[in-house]
Amino acid sequence: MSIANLSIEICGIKFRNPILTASGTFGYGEEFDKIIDLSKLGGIVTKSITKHPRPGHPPPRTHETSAGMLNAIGLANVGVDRFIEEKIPFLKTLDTRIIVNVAGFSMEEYTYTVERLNDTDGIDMLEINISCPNVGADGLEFSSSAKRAHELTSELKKISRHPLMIKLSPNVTSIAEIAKAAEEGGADCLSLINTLVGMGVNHYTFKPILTNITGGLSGPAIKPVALAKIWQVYNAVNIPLVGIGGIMDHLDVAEFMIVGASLVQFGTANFVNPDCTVKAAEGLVDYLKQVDISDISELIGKMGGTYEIQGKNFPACQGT
Amino acid sequence: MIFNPRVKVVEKNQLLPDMVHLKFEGENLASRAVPANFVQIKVARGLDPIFRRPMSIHYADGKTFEMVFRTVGKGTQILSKAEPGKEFDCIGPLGNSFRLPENNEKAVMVAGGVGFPPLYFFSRFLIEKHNFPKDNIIFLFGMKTVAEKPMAGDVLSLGIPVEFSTDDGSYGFHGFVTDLFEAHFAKNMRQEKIRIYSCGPNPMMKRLSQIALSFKLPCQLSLEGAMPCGVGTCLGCAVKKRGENDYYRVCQDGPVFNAEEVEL
Repeated sequence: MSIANLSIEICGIKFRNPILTASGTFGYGEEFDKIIDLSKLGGIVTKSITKHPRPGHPPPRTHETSAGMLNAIGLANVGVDRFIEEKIPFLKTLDTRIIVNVAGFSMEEYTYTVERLNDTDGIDMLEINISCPNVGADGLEFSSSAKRAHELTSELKKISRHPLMIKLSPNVTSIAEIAKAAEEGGADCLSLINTLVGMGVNHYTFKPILTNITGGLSGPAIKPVALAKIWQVYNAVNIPLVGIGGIMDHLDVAEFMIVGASLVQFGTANFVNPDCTVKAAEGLVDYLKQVDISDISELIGKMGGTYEIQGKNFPACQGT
Repeated sequence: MIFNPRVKVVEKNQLLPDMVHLKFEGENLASRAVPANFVQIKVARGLDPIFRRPMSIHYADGKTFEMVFRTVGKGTQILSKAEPGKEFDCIGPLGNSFRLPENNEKAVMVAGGVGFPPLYFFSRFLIEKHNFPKDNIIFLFGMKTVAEKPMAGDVLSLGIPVEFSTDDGSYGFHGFVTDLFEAHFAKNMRQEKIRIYSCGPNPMMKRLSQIALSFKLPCQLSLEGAMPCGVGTCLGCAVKKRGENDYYRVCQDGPVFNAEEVEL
């Protein structure tokens, strides 16, 4: 069998392979350029960009947990103006897809940033981080109600010249409902899951570990949650999904695709092994050979079928 | 250039009941390491603990590099049990380095406990690579108590002036190493041009910064921080920029900073 096709096309954009880097774990690409070959990636999702520069929260901002980490960085970023001036020129030189993550604390902040990015070349897609409180209105997170998510998506869809990927929060009663609202609002695709709200406390000092008290839990610890959420959303919407949540290697990529993701994002894993994404892309080739699949898109939503291969012994899955 | 080799323990010395010195083989990494550089070492193959541990380089000679650490948590516990032959996945060398002293300056190293390795490496680097006169380096070594003195073996072997302080007065100057510096500075260094280099606990370096700034002495600090990534992307190891509402990344912008740049 010849080498399997790893490329995936969603929203009219072709990705070399399904492997992206998750926002906030890959900076603006520059740091990793010294360590790995960025042209081996399907794409890069930048750190969240906001209307104004943000210094972020005072440390401690991160805390290692069992098979994961808590973070409360506070959306530290250079702001959209400096992003366009200082970071886009480098990103433009890269032979990979560029997805810019946009965050905001009011409708106006989101629309400002999205409009600024409209005039910028070198961007393939925007990912909208809707897990921020709307301090301009009721203070509720845009991600926490179907109505808010719909409003935000449809407003941004009206003005954006780039396809929109809406990033969903798992900290809701029904993620499928929010997903449907975003789809109805015009989302081109959805990425999920953002981090789970968590916290740590010091049992000797009685103080919270993070200055922000609560933070976002990520890493392999949340992988089963992510798989379940993706499966729920896959069954509720008709737009492509981008799976995120504790992905460490190519086998995790396969699992996320099997439950419904078209693309995936590596987050915390980048901190553990900076070359995890490149290794996973290589690993997928061997994996697809093992399962006799010639085009990786065949994996998407494959779960529940009667997929078996006669006469082949597969290595036992972790935990079995 | 950052390397990601597997490195092998070739020598182990138990300096104190809770302090270990390890020497590793790791050629490409060791040949490029300069003082204050650090490595990110993966101590467990699995996910517990999940992150690498940032470790200051105690010395590197082109083929091997060394580290000295205290066992303070899960990661260092595992690393402290490594015996010669054991291999680890390691990334490095990472971080910047110290600024060299001018020819007419004295280099004053102010070490707090197990913060001494980058200062040992730097002292040796100045002597061996820059022919810096040994008498122009002064090493002030702060310890809790005399029982910790075995950790200073390598520093003492350099043949430079070394002065100790102990918190309990059991050896050398009675007090903190910053008090020793103040006493020393007041007594001997007023007329000389000096440049201070320091590594140790943050409260110690904060106090030292205050002293250095008040006397307008050039002072560089090698900081540490919680570093999930070590390469500048997680933004976990933030340190406040002095006088600005913004942060540096210890791993990428440092670990060495001028005292006037940061607010500890």
